[in-house]
Amino acid sequence: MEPITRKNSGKLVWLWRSLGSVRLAVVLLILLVIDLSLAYFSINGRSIIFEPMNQVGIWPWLNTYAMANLRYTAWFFIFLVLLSALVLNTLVCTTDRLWKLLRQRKEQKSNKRFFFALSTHTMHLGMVVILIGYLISYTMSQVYPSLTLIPQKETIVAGTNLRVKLTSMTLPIYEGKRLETFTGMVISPSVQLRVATPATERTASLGFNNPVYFQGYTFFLQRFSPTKNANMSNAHYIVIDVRRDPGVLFYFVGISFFLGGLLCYVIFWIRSRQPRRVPS
Amino acid sequence: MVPFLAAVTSGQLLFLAQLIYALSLGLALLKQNNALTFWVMTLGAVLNGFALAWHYWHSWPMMPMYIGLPALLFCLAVIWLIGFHQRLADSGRIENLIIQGLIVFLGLITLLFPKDFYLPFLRSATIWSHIFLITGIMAKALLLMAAIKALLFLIYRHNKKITSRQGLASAMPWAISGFVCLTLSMFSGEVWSYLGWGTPVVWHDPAITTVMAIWFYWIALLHLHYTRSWNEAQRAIFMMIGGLLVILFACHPDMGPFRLPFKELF
Amino acid sequence: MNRLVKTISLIVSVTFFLVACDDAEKTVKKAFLQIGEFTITKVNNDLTLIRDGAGRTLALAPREAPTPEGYEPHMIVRTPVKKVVAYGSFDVATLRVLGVLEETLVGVTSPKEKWFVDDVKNGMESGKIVYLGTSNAIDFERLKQQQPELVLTWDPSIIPMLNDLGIACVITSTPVAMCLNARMSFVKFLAPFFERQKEADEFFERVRSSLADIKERTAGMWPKPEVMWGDMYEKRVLVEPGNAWIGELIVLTQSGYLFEDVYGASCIEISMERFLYSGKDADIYFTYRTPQNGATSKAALAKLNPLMASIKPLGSEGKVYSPLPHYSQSGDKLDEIFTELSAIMHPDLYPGYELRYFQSLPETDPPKEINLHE
Repeated sequence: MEPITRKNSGKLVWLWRSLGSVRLAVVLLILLVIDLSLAYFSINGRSIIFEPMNQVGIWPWLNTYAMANLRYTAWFFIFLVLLSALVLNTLVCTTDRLWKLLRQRKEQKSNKRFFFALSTHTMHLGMVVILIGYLISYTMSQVYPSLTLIPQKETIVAGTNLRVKLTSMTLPIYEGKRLETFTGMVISPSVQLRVATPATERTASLGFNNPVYFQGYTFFLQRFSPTKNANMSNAHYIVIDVRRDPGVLFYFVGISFFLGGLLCYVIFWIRSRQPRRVPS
Repeated sequence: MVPFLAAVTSGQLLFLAQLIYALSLGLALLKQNNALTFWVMTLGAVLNGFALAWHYWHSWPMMPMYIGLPALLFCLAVIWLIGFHQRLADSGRIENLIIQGLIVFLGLITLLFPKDFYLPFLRSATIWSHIFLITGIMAKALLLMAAIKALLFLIYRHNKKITSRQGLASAMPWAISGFVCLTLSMFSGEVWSYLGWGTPVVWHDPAITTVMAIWFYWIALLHLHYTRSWNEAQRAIFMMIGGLLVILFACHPDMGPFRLPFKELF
Repeated sequence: MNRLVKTISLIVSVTFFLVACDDAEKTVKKAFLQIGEFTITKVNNDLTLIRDGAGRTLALAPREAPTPEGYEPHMIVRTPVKKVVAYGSFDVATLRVLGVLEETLVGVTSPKEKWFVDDVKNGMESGKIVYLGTSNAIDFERLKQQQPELVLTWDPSIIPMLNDLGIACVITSTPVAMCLNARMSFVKFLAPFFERQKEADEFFERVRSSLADIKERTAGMWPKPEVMWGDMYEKRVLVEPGNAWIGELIVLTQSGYLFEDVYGASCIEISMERFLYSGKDADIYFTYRTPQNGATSKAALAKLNPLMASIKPLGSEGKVYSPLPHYSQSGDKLDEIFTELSAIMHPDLYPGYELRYFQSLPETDPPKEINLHE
């Protein structure tokens, strides 16, 4: 590959190439590793500084929790800068190479080579889409945290036209002996939730890892009570989080892209390693 | 066998497994009968496997907490056993010894710094948490194997007759399969995080950043490999540092306070 | 030369960054205060936002200020609050610190005979403070009659009912245990509700100086006593994690806390094996049980749970302490409690100290007197 200098290229071209260089990518990745290693020690035992980010969103969080605890959150500011640079680098690099690849498509005799190269670009684009999804999630999500519901009482989600009602609760007590510390406790709660707007309604089952989707809103079970046999006389209630997160679709699409690319990559990589048949 | 397994605890099984792993290493160092070394190692892996099964039995459908280190040992032992005869044929005794040494080292950390006293939590009763855990552990074992291969390359690179087993290219299948597993672990963790908490990242566990760090590091390595921008020795060193990073980040989050095994019995 | 310039610039940049960080932290802390999982954000003179232990946001506005926009009526609290209901004894103690207990407290969830705080007992006698029923059977009619403007509770199940009644509610418990600083600063969290920031600051300073005294007294103490705090209930083990104020305080008193590495909620459940293992190293053991709950002697505790008999403090070499019934209601005397804990760890440093909040358990229960007339 011919070295790129300012003499033989315009400044813009030089900048474009530099932005998309693999060397820059490697430098950024190594810096990210260092930053994330520091992050581990900053978060350890201090998760209460970081957890509110999921509720208040990234900008309010940066202005409050992050700024008030800079010695533990400085890594996050650096992380954002590095991640942004990596996204830019990946976009430029992928655009550049993908363009070249598509232009040379007709000249290429081997399909295998083409799809092999395409699979890596798919992964790159997948990663960019995932990160865009994260950004959307953390900037544009609407979160209604800790909504308490008691049986048969309708509650309005503040600031929306949503009405939620806990229609029934199933709290099976674990009676077995295998999970010794859970004997007499509820380990698989299931509740029926009725969610409605003035126009439509839906009844669905809600549980841990089993959210309810309705009109762009998602309902997540956060807590429930009573949790054990001995406390069955306590008040029955659940606490839910209601979220409207337009970023989710992006990061799941990004994940699919990445995994699709990775799968193609692995298939071609395995096939390229198989010894070629020698004609007898 | 069943009454025996019902009576012992996972800690006791692991202790026995570690003793047997160490014995197997001793036999290998003394160049004892290869078959004996193999079968002793097999016994260690079986006991290690039973210790893991014990944890799963007492947690399922939830995810057992902090079993990363004993599971990593098990994965490395299985890798060692699968490739044992092939390595012998290819005079890979040093490779066998390095893997065994690593197993014994990690086993010592597992025994002396256990952290398995946290109880499983309800939100982990989903298939995603198990995929996240299992693929994550497999990824670490595979990436460690890549680092071991890189170390072997550095040891043998000046030999005139370097075998394919000793070349740096032999590390790449491990690195790529490790990266694939790590990616699966990260993405299944992300799906779990969304379904369980409704957020893309859960900040409760700081180990999330260590997984991301390892992932970025090995992406850098793959880029270096495909662009050939560094020479083989430099890439091998980079890979070895990656292995150390995996050891550090596999151990530290899973280490509890120092504890002498079986002290409570005396 | 070039390298030297680069190094110097790097050092200057890092120093500048750290100084800038420190300045930025101070600036933000004036408007935003984080107390464990609680926060206070002063938006302007007419609006302060608070985030409670459950992550809910409430708007505090002075009585004469315009109604804040974008908040449901039950999420708006007019300050200073004139009538309050409190579930937890620590909340009641905090009201006492702020000097508002007598004038504002109108309802509690423990009957009169369970109270050791004179102000509460007197208030209940005069009828100003009302017993609203146990926390799982609140009499909402009585609560409504008391017309509180605010309810301080750990129980979210009452929120829907309170919303209907238009009463604001603050969750004062948190999912992660309160650290030492949060425990001391909790008073600053409740202060804006009653416009009593000055009293909160004074209390915080008092507790802080007691901590400074403890730190000075215990500096360099060796050997460090090993301490554990928790209990066994049949097959369950609950302990105070290292991030809880108790764990942090014990470490601060030059003692070893055997669950320092455990992180999580207050009264976190861990495996029995770990409890028994740590028990082998412990010199001092604090049980959650009061004498009324069976913690009358070491033998009594061992009888309640025979497995526990193997831990060192239950033998003749160790010490076991149990909280006295009024301990949980003495949150306004944190400085005294801290000092007492320090005195328990290092009795030599506090000669003649008499315990007021804890009692040391004897080896066995005293023999029961037999009434010969019966």
